[in-house]
Formats: sequence, C-alpha cells, structure tokens
Amino acid sequence: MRENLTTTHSKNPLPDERQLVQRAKSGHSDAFARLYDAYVDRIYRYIYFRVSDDTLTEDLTSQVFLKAWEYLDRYQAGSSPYLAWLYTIARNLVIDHYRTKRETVNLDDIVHIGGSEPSPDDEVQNRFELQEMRDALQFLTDEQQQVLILRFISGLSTENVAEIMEKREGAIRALQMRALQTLSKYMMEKEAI
Amino acid sequence: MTNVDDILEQCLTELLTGASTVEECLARYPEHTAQLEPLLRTAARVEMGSRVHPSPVFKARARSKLTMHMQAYPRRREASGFPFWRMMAGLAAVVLTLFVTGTVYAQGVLPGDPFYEWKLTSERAWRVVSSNTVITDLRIANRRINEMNVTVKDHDKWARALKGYSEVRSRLEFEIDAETLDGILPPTEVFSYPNIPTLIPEPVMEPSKPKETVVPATKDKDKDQKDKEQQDKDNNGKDKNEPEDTVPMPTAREPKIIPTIEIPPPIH
Repeated sequence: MRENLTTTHSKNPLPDERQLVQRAKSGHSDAFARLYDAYVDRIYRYIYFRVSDDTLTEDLTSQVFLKAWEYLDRYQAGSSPYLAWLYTIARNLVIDHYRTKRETVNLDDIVHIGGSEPSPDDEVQNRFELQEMRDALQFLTDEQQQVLILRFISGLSTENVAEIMEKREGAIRALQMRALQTLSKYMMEKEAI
Repeated sequence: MTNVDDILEQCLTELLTGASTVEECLARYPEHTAQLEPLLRTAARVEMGSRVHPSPVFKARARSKLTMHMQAYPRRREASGFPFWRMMAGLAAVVLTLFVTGTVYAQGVLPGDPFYEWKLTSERAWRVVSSNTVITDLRIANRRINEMNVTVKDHDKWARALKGYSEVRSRLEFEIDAETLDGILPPTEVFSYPNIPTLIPEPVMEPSKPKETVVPATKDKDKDQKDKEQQDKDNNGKDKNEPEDTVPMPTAREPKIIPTIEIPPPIH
C-alpha cells in the first residue's frame, strides 16, 4: 500500500501527509487545515460530477471535512491513503443524499474552470461542455460514475481506484470499459439529435 | 499485445499522463480503431472535468466554517511527553488494585496459607486506624478462635492460630481489667488441642462486668444449642473459609457460660 495516492494530473501536494494526519489526530487544527487546503479541490470535483447542483456540491464538500475531523480516529494511516479515506466519506455522503433527498438540476449553476483565463466565448463553451458531461454522468450507474470520476477527473490509477472502491483491478477495468461504452453511446445519440 | 482491454488501458494511461494523444494511440492500433476511438474520445471528454475547481469564495467560507467547527469540537490532544509518568501511573493503578484485591482475599485465609501474614498485617493496620482498639482486638481474637475451629485437624496451623490468640489476649490484658476480660475471652490455657471453646461475645464500648464467671462448661450442657448453631451455619451456605461470620455473637451484656468446644466438622 502506497502512502499517498498518485495522480496523473498533479503531484501529491503533501509529502508530509502522514505527519499532518498524526498531528491532526492529536488535536492540532492547523495540521487539519493544511490537509483541507491540499484536498478540497479534489473532493469538490468528485462531488461536483456526482450531483448536479453547485450549492449541494459545496455543502457536501464542507460536510466531508467536518466528518473527517469528527471521525479522524477511525482513519488508520497504514491501511489506505488519506485522500482515499476522504473519497470514501464523500461517496457515502452522496449516497446518503440520494437516499434521503430528491435531486434537482439547476442549469444556472456557476462552474469555475481553472487554468489560464479563457476568453468569454471559450468560457461559455467550457461551461456548456462540463454541464453536458455532468448531466451525462448521471445516466451511469453509481459504480460506473465513480470509476470514471476517480480515474479521469481525479486522475487516479486503476490500482488506486480499486483500493477506494474495494474491488479488484480487473473489476475496475471492466466497469471502466462498460462506463465508457455507455457514455459514448449516450453522447453520440445526443449529438445526433 | 492483442487484448483490446489491455490496449485500451495502456492508451488511457498514456492519455491521462499526456504521453500520447488519441490520434497517436489510434495510429498504433489501426486494427482496433473502430472499438477504441469512441472510448478514447469519451475518456478525453470526461478528463476535461479535471479543470473544475471550487470558487475561492467557497473555499474560504468552508475553511472558516471548518475552523469554527474544530474550535467548537476540539479533538483531545494526546499527551506529547512524559510517557514515563503515564506508565508509572498505570503501574501504580495496577499495584493498588492488586493490593486491595489481595487484602480482601487475605481476610478469609487460614494459618499456613501464603496470604496469612498479609492477613495479620492488615489486622495490625486495622488496629492502628481503629477508633476503639478494644473492640478491634476482641474481633481479632474472635478470628483466631474461629481459625482454631477450622484448623483443628492440623496441629501446626491450630498452634499458629492459638499463638495469635495469645498475643491479642495479652494486648487486651492491658486494656481491660482481668475479671472483665475473663468474662469475655477465656484464658489461653483453656485451649487444648483438639478441644476448643467457642465463645464470641459481642464487644461493647464499655464492657460490663459479667455477673457470672465465664468458665468452660461441660460439653453436654449446651450441646443442643451448638448443634442448632452448626445447622444454622450450614444452612446459611456461607463460605466456610470465612470463619468470622460462622459463629453467633451473643452480647457481653448477656454473658453466657462458655462451653467446651464441640469440634466442628472438618472444612472441605
């Protein structure tokens, strides 16, 4: 088991993650705040594509870190990476949300896009594409959504995704293949319209 | 590599790491283009989602909320130092527990038991802290007599109990006048192995002088009463290793003729 998750999108921002977690467990809120700063974007992104409401995305993202602080004692540093544990909390919160509430889609939600400042036209186009992708993902099963988000949006390796979802790598690859096929078919049909 | 799954996995990894583009990958596997192209282009579109970020306003607001939450619900800080003192405190707790448990256990042991000295030590401590040493000594004497009763088949143990009785009676001779003491406790000389008198008058703050001289009586005189007491004792089902509770304690205000002891059945 690797200490940190390796992502294809960015290097791990916290080489001293383990020490920070240990200090946070001992009650040092500054250490936990650093963990928050390092991972809030990824957790936000994960939730963003699991729900279709920006306000809800923000609310659930906040809840992930509040719960992480509350249940930090349950996290065993040697068993899995801290980010994987956060993803698990996020996943459970999303599932709980869908169990208890009816999801409403708000197409006026503001999407924040990183990178160099795009032109207004590009930004509109990006927003449109992202919202389209967000909506399209909702047609996948829960597990298919998770695989695609963790693999292509969070940028995790198949091995890391398997750890988080507690499945074998072969099962993750099969899920990934089916998810891409379903999504590809859905998008082609939509574009044909 | 002929398996399409493996080719797809390799292409996806290269796509995510920027090692190659969709076109480059398809060019390498023209025979699988029909299968790979829609999947790779879809994956590339999904990957665009990595450009989503929360707004700085939200991040700052959520951080502030988190900070307040952490202040409202602080985690218990682990003691960073003094592991030695924590260990010593734990050790002290264990020792105290063992001491209390051992002392409680020792109260029921008989002469010859490894804990018997512990019992005598605890009795000395009891006497030191007692507000009335006369009553305490009378109760200790009572214990010795009962020990003699239950060790009657073992002369050494019986002699050890008798020695203890003699000691406590000697102490009482300095605390109570001889006539009164004789009315409460028989002289040591009365005891002869294996005949032991049972007597246990209830100690009182100011022992009154008995009207009758207490002497060992004949066996037959109180035989029925002793049988009844023994039967009651057995029926109560009490621990026979705890002799203190096995003998009834008539009050000193009602002195009784102390009979020669009827040897109780052996304790198993």
